[in-house]
Amino acid sequence: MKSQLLPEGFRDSLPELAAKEYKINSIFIELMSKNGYSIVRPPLIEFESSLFFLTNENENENSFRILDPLSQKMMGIRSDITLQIARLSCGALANSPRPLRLCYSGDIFKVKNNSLNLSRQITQVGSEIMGIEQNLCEKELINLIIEILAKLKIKNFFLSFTMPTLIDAICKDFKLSKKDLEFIKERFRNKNIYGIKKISRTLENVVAVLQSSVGSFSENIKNLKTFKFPKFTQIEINNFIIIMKKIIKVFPKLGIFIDPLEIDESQYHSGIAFKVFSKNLKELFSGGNYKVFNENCIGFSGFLENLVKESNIKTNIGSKIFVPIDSEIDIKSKKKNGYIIVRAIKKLTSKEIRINAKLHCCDYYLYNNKIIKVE
Amino acid sequence: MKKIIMAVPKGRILDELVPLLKKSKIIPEADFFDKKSRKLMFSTNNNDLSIIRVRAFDVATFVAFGAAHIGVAGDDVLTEFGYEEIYDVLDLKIGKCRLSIAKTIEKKKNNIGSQGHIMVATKYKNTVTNYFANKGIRAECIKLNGAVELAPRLGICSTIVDLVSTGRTIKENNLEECDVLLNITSKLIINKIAYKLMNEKITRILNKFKKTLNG
Repeated sequence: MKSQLLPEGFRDSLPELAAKEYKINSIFIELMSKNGYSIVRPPLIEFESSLFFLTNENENENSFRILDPLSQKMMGIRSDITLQIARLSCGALANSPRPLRLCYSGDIFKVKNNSLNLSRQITQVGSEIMGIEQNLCEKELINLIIEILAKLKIKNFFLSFTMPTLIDAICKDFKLSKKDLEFIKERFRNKNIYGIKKISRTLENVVAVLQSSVGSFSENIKNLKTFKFPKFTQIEINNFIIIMKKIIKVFPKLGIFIDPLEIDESQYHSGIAFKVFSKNLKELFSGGNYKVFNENCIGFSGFLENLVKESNIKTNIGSKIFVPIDSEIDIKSKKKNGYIIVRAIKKLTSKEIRINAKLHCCDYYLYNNKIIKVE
Repeated sequence: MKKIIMAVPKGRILDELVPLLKKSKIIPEADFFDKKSRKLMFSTNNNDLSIIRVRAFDVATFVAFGAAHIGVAGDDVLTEFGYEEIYDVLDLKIGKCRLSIAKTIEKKKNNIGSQGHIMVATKYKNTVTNYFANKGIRAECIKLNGAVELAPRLGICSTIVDLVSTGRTIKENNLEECDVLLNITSKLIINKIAYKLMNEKITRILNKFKKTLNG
């Protein structure tokens, strides 16, 4: 047969990988459910108008479209489940008591993923709390992240906090034109202050201080505290320091980093946003505060593929045993003892049983009701 | 935390980079200067820093994937790959050249703008496609990894896009430079996540370069 190639960015998860994916997914959902997060399952496809109701240009441009032959309307395939949760919280679940805790797991599709991850179909897992008082739920989320990473046996991880609305404050303070704002954003994206002097000398100083405050929070807080920022920027910085101090107090041993100038590419965060990285510099989760109309929310999500790569959990659930076709009675007791049963499909001689057990990577085989180790 | 790994390009840029490294008091081990050495990773006088020597086109990739934490790459490579995972923090002011369009002298008379479609021999497929797309022209690139200037002469196509520094190769192959896509210098680039998590060590190296450049 001619080999059938999948489209670029799509792949099959074969047995071992699929088992690990399924297990990690189950661990995540179980942990969230136990912590009072109700699971929801929004659909893969919605009409464009509802899928992009929070108008996020990035997601909008990066989503697959199909035409609904029934309604003749354009539909979009989701590329971020968080937006669907936001739609639910102010729609079907608008009258549910607050805070509303929801969790989810499902596939998303992107027209183009980033250059490090070429997959176009990715599984997103996440949790959101809708209707919160501001700045009070970071602790709950960080605790959940610690718990889930421990269960997934991902040791040594780091949290990096950013201020997604700082750029707006700077824009207000320096009354930046649209052109200058785009220029500044580009500079922030590259951590490069070149050319900012032309707009304003004070702005250059402000950016230089913020830029030199990237890294471990405890080492950089002094920098932020002592510099006198302009009015709106100062308000943002003060809020950030208050939240960060609270977090450090509760989690003194966690590796906590800050990056005040990071641009929030998801475009919907307010307050603080954060990312969780593994020691191999891979992103595990990202999250933060956001608003759905007037309601304050906070949440985090991650891609199953990244968790699978970094997780050290084992997927084998017991020793495999090869069982001849007529040993039905014995199977029940073996299953109880935690064996994984591999059944023969026809009558086999003792030699054939031995060969087949080896072929199917079994640890044992059953012969005359005796368990025999595969040599 | 781990050692910092710096990716540097082989070839022309390296010759200009070595004096800069020395002035910045970053001294690689002796093997680094031995062109016959098969070693790919080198220690330096700084215990926290190792250097890898890779092709200029691969520096950005090594840094984007976090295999190297910092690197030296030209604007041509950064534009071609457009990695979002990289900060381009400092202009090292070395490796100056330009990415230019060159055409056979007869073809130059025909204005590019009057065509809707063009064939270009180049190593920079993405950069070229985007450049012409902005002008409303569909460019079809023939990927060549070297001796691009031969393409028009041997009849592959009449337009090329390649690096130009003195312009001699272009002239000697009966071509004329007609437009500059990009003015290029080499930049110090940093992996975004490494910049957060290993900031102290990286800033120390960054400051060494800054000090040298500012005299």
